[in-house]
Amino acid sequence: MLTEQNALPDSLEETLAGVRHLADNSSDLLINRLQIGDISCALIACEGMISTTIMTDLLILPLTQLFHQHDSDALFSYIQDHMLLSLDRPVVRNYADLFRLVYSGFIILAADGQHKALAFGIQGYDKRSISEPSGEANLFGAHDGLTEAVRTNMSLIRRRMKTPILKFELSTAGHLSQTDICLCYMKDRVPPQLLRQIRKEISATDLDTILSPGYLQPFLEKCRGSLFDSVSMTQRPDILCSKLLEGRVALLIDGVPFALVIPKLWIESFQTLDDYTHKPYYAAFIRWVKYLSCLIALLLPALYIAVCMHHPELLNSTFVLILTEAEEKAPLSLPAETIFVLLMYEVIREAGLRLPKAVGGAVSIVSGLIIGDAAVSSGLISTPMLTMTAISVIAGFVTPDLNAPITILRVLFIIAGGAWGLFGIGLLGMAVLYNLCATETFGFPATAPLSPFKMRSMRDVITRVNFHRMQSGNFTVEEYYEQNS
Amino acid sequence: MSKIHSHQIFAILILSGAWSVICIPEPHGCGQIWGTVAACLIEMLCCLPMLALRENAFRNLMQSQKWLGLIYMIYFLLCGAHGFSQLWEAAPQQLLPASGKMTAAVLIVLTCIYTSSAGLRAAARCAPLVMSLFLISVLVLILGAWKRIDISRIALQGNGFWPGMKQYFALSGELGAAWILCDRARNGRKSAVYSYLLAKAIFCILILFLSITAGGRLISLNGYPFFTLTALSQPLQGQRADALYILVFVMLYVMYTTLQSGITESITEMLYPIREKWTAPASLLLMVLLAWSINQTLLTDLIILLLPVLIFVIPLMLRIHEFSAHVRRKEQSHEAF
Repeated sequence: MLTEQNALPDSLEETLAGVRHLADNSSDLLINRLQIGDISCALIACEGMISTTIMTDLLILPLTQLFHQHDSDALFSYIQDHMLLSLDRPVVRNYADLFRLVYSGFIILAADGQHKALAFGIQGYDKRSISEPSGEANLFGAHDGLTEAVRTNMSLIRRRMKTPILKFELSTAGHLSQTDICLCYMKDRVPPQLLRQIRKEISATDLDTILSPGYLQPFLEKCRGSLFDSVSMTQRPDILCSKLLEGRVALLIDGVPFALVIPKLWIESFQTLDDYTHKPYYAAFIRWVKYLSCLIALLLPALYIAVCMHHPELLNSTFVLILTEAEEKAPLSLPAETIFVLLMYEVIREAGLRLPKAVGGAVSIVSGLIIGDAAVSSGLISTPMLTMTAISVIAGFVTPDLNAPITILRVLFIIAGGAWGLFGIGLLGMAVLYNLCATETFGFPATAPLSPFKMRSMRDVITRVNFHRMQSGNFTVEEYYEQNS
Repeated sequence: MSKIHSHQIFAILILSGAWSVICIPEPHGCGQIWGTVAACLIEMLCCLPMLALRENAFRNLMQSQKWLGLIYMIYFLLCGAHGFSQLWEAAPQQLLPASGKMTAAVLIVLTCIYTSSAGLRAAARCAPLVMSLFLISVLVLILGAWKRIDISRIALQGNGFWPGMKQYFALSGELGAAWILCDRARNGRKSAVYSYLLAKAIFCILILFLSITAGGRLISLNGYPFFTLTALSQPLQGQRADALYILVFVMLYVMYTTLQSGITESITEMLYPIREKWTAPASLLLMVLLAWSINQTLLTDLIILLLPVLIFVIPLMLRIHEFSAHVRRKEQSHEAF
């Protein structure tokens, strides 16, 4: 029985019959027979994946001029040794490679009497041009972002790192999709054990297809049950290069405009490229604002509820009077009210995200002005509570990387604070802290450099020193590696 | 076996020690400060043989003498039970908002089951982060108490050297964990243990000093110097801040119990090299049962009795054995030469 693993037969008829059989006469498969000299040949390609102009000018035209050829061996050796029809020209020996290359935009030249075929990379499929990433906005950095084509992304990185130390390793993953994936790293800086383990994990995946980074991410995150990511994603080639310089490994996936970066430290959620453009004093200030925002986003509504319900002595008398007056009119209990508002916010956010942009604006107007104003005016929601929730939500926008854990934990903290006050918040806080501390990937703890504490790294955590001092760092993530034995 | 940094060992030990210090039930007067100093010096001397042992000495001992492992395990279960009984006694001082002591205890045990299951390495990583919060709270406490300090109150207090010394030994349950943690240390185990002993004594003296000078006779009446001090020292006018110490109370207890159950789990792994999911919850349940079935005074006495044997006598014997084996090897090599 013919399978994709079978080697190509030497008869052209049998080869083409095999291709047709395996492709089940798929409509996008193009097979064109042609005669080169005395030899029967065929060009196999996939419609829409190749550039017809390149095919005509650089392939068909030169091939048809080889009328003096009588023997397929001589023809193939002449094409391989004397004709530079394409830069990327692998040799195909089985059906699996043939289909992978055809569906990757290669054209295959098969000839009668040959156990192999020649492939020429003349990709010409339509792809999105390089544009500014929708997320990860920054003021001073480059404005180009990764695209869906893995080779374009490779070139974007290479343009920034013109050194042979930067290495790309192309391979495929996904049984059915045969998706191109590319490991990139700086070969003198990457921890060898990290690279070895990543290769091992990727080769052990048993996925049919890879359509988003989320398909591979769980295989690269070694800590189960963690709320926090230990693998980061970026859409920006400049950020990616900075991570590679620190000895991290990036994984580019064809069809995905994001790169996975391994490992991720929790503290990276607070670092942006603009931090390294501003003056150090301002960058340090902004960084502390982010730390504070994270705490506000996570704890403000819960603390507000805990203090109002269980520990009013923590507030001064004026504050207590204002809050009592406002909360007296509200029909729901404080935790119920807060969870309701947060739930409404999540509904509105999701609606705004999925709807077309033109309608998304209308959703904001309806939700912000009409529902928000009406809810407060009718007395359904108290103004201080709405203020606290709004501040918390806005503070969450400062660290978009932590949006998922913050959203869930905020609700849990509200429940704990409502039920058991600061005692509940303390207990849940400890559980979350342990969860964060237990997060690691391939021996790299997410809490580094805070714990294990590295004094040298504090220059980019507590503050941000200038490049005069930072250039002498030679920092790589290997410093944080914790061996298991 | 996962290695732990020395600063993490220091942090986890000092936080566990701080839990015991904040739960001191009654002050015994100014002499207690001197009793604390004397107890700290004795503990430092007792640790010498333990710190002179080679790396993995504890693991090797457990593998060769399994019955000793069981004694250590019982000791840590007793320490955990002692911690739980301290929690049970001290909880009303903090006026926990959970309805009743039982709910509070159940919630705390559930949290500890989760934190213990995360493993000793997670606890070690967590400790420096918790310690930074703890230091901030101590600073706030000092600032709040500063205005109330009256040195003349020292004269009003009694002696209490011997009771203070005994109490300090009873507070040193976590010292038994030091050897096991040092066995897993990357480096600097001596500095970690001695810094911990010193820092704990300083913290204990600070609390006693502040409670005597800022609290005066009120401390003798109310007991629990730390909690009375938090009630007295208010850094802000018109607002009370003592509820914030609930967070400190919870953090320290979780650290203490996680350390005891983590160590118990670690010893179980050494004795029976299979990692079981139920070891941490089972050890915690045993601690709770022990706390309910044995009264606190007996628990304290058992800990005081076992502590010198486990941290001084056994390591000393092991060190002598190591030394004599070394001498024998040296003699044999001379003879062979």
